[in-house]
Amino acid sequence: MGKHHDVAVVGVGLSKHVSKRRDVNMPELVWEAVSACYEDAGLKPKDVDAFATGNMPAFEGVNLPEEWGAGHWGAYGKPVLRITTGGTTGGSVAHGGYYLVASGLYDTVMAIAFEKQSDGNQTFGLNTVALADAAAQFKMGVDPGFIAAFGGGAVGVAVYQASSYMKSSGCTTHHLDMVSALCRNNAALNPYSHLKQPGLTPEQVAETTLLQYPIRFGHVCPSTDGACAMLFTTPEKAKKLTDKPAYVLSVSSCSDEAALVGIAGSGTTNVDPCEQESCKIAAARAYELAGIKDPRNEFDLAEPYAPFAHQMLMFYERLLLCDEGEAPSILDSGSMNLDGELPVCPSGGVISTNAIGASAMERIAECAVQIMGKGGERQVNKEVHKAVAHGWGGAVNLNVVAVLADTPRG
Amino acid sequence: MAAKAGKEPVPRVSMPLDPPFAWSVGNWIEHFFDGMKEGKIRASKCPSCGRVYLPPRMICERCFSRADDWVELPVTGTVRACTKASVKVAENGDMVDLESPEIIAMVQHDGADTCIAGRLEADDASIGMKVEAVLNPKAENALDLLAGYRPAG
Repeated sequence: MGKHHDVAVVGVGLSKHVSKRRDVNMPELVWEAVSACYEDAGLKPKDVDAFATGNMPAFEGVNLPEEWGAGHWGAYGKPVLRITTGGTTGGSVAHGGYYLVASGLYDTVMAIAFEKQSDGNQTFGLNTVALADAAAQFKMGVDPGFIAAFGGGAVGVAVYQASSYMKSSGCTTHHLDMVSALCRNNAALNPYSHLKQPGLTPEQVAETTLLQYPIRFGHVCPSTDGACAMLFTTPEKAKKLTDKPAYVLSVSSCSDEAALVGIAGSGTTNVDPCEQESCKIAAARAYELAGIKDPRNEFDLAEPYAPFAHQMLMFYERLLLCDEGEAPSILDSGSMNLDGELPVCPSGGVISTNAIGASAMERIAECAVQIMGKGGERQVNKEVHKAVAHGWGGAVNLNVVAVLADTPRG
Repeated sequence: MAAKAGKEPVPRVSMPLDPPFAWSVGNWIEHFFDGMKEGKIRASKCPSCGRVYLPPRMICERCFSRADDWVELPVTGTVRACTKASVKVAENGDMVDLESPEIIAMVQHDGADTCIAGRLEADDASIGMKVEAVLNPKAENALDLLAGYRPAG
């Protein structure tokens, strides 16, 4: 394998996650996660050599948030690197933190990802991504409401992906209801989750409003204010800090053709929105780097990025954890439950908590927390030796994958 | 592919946006605003290094502590930097001439480790000049509670 150094995770910190944090401004919200992370690791800002940070561009009340916040995060006098890649931002920021240590350039690095969506505006943010396309259609007389319905926004993308996935996999609407119930029940055990619905049943999910077939209100993530921070360091330093660090064995990201619906976004060869070839490529690459030969049997836990119910099953397959079309029956078997064979989204997942820029990092953070045995009530009912974290975003074409373990590659 | 003569140029569209962004000031600045409604200038103080922040900050960036202590500062302070503005930015974003130039000063209140910017009502200004804050506790807009500064005494 490559000449990169092994990297340990020695701290994870999360802020309180709710719809609207009016009691704090953006740097103060992020400070909550950052200070919890320092405390978790037993480190202070003086022990950190560099910082990686990011959030969704144009989703926040301010752009260049690091300008406002870096000092609040302990970065006074230190290098700060900002990374944004749309929905995968949090994953890319964590990868950035990993790279800074794996390269040997820095020993200890903090990665910080966040979103204070209540100060920003999601629709405006998404518009800035696809603005030229939307503007062109608008000028041609296409009704803006229609543009939103068929092109703009993640729901517009998700419904086509869901219906396509259901046709190819045999996934039913009942499976979508089951995914929501599983995740929201897990979220109820996670003090840092947003939507906690203890005891929620698939039948109750099936009674929520149908937004756009097949997606019901109960199948969609909330809009969240929240932040996540992680501390990466060398295995040597990690051993002095904790008996049980987590290790990042590999990270991988892969881009595909942009697949937004519209004039500029159409015309790509991605005709099937559920194919997600870039996820399969990223997963295969990450597993090769990590020395994973049998992903179906080697992992103890998976945190796929699933803001919409069908995506938990779809990405379980695209992460090469089973055959394509097999995930719905694995869900039926109970294997994905918190006490199952391969628990999925023990955190409650993105469908329960979505501070967008932080979400892909929170998948990696949850894998680390579970490996370190710090999951509290949501700790899975088995030893976690290896876990896979995933993020999805970009113009619905970026996928990021990270493999974590309780022992380094060596 | 070359453009054909006599054809309309390729469409180029524009779409003005009205960004509906906000900024939650947080509890520290809210406490500062509430103080000025009672004629008080409240600053936050770092319990570890003793630095005093005006406007108040929740986190002392130098020593990464929560600036949880509060102190009331006098209206008096010293000009640390100043300038004379001859233009301003209008609400529509255009730059317009001011009828008469305005003095803007960075003022360090007595007892503060930071500066706060404000309009200084004076004929002239210089660095080191002693000034005092003019509060307007009845102001409807929170940002107008601190009306500006004038020469001290």
